[in-house]
Amino acid sequence: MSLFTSVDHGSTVTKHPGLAAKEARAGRILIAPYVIFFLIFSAYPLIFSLVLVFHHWSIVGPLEWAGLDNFAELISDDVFWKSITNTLLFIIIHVPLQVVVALFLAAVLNENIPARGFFRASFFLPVVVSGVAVTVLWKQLFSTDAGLFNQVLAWFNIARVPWLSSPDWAMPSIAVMATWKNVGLYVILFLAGLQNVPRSLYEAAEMDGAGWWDKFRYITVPAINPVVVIVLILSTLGGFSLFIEPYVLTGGGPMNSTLSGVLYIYRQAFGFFRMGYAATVGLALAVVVVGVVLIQRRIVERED
Amino acid sequence: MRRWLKSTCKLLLFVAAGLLMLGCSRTQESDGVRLLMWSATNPQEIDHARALVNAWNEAHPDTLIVLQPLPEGRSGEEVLIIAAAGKTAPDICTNIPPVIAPLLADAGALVPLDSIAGARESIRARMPAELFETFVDGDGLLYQVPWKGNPILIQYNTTMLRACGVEKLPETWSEFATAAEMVVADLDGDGGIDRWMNIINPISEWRQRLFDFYPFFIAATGGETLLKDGQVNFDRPETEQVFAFFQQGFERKWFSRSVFAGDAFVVGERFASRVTGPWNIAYTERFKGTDFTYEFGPIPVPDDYEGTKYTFGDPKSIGIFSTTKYPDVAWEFIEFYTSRSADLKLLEYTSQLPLRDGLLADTLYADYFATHPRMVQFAEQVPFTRGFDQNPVMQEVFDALAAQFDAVCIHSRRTPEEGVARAAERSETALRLRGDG
Repeated sequence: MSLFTSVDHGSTVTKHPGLAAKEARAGRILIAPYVIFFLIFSAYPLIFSLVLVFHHWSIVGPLEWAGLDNFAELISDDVFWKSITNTLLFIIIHVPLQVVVALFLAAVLNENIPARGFFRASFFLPVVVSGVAVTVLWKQLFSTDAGLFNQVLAWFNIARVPWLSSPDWAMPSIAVMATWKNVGLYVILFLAGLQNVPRSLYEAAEMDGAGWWDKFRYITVPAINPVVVIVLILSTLGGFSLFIEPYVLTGGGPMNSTLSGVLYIYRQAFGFFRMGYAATVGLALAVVVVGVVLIQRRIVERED
Repeated sequence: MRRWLKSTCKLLLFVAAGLLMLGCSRTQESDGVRLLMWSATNPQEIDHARALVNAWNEAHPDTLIVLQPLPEGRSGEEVLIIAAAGKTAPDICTNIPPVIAPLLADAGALVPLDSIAGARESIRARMPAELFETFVDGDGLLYQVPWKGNPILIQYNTTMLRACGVEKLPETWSEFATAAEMVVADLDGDGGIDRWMNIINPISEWRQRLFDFYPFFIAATGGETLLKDGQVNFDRPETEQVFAFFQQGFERKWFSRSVFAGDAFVVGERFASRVTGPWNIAYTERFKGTDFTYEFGPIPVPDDYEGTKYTFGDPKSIGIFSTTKYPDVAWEFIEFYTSRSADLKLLEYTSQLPLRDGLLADTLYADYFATHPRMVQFAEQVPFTRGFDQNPVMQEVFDALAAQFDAVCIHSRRTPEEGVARAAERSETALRLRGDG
């Protein structure tokens, strides 16, 4: 006779077979909504996109077998490689900037400063504001000839900067804007980490004559290292999904300098209705994301 | 247990009520024909469509048209393609951009109008003969009813031009350049330009190039379009010259590389001109300042150009989707929607021009043009407009050119010759792999 057993707090409890079957059935019913959701919205699209990479499909017509045509095109597609380079450039600028700014703000907001609650809420506000609304606002700020940033520079006799209209400036400008938009979320994560560092460590360090920098370097940073890892991974993944900002601000230009991988997928899929090729670009982007995250993990593990 | 029974009964009642309502609506449908029609989303076109649909429905209670504006989306093209893919397309759409008609036609999403008795002949008879052929698909069939157009001209702020010493509207590239040099100025002495000759949206999207590069290309080539017999037709000196003209314009700051907030032409008065269509007349009249005067001029041509002045016609078509059960009724409605009297309504409601032959000679429209004299210039231009080549890869061809316009004209990173060659190469690849012809 097979019995269903479970271990709870070290003691073994034996259940009646009927009860176990009932529990198993209830369990299956309870997880069914998620499984159905997963099958429809994750598994099916994933499998279908893998089918699509070997086909040409204009969304309205039938699937046409393409063999490896899409892959051959991908390899020689300069715009695809440009979009990957752009995305990596965005991540290289955005991720360190995000970490440094978020950590700095969290450190300040962790102190007993006046109106601390107000500032914490203020820095978090852009996170919950619509991405499109924020982007439209920044579009006006960045305008070369009529934007606020260049008006401020003009007060100091500094020449106008083509923030979004120069291929060299556009992606860094978008990275700065994205940092402003998302930094509040990471400030919260860092704050949670900082508040878990025992006060006694700082007191002991002070007794040993440690200054602000020493305390930050030898106590704060090692103590919040797990949070830093989370922030690094989250902001890297966020960087790879860059879409709204270039879509609204620049349309991927000038000269494709802000064309991100996801925007390129969108352009192929819904601009030219080339679903097969868009799926191939998506697959290639997924491979790049996995590669970068694995490298990132290895570096972090080595440092640990 | 009793509570469980109660809530189950409630649920069953709710489902039964739903089914009953569904049944009622089916019964209503079975009483007569109902066709769903999507119109453009701007208020003027919705009002126009509503007026005509109401008139039709009053006269044809057995074949009712249900009007709905095109669902929201990034673009009409995207919405229509996705609706066709999801089999949720309407029976009729009055806002089909001809640029996607071949894609829809190739997928079998549009009814070939040749399959409806008399349709092709009726459409051909309505419009200028020269324009008709430009709407015929690569397979020789007609999938769209060319309905209306907006010839693209240049609107000039004549108050500003006069203040700068420009007395005559430019008609050639040299005249445009001379006027631009007189207009462009740093007004506050901060080293940056504050007044430009012409407003161009520099964003990297091919649709923007329909209002700068494309009308200039059509004008410079005397009415050529980007393809001919399914092959690239823009790898020619005129295209390089158009690129060079815009490159010079950005370098000399006749055009700004910035995107401006709000309307920097009528309201902001920071530009002396803009490339636009007749729909802007009503807008300008509503928002212009008291001193603002304006006139429309043709798209400038090369100095040695002689002949008729062509431009981009920004046409829109009507299509019948193949998901309809009643293509003949749909055609009957479209005939009504594009009739002489309906075309008068189109003018009155929307200030857009029907693609109708002899528009200015027809006495029915005489009063309208007498009271709207600015529209005469646009009506005269209609026969000398061009739209889109009927090929499923046109968006890719435009994108290839837009990318090179970006590199050559806006950022001067390439020579015009190199840019045109690159655009042609990419377009040829797209045409070879996915195009018609």
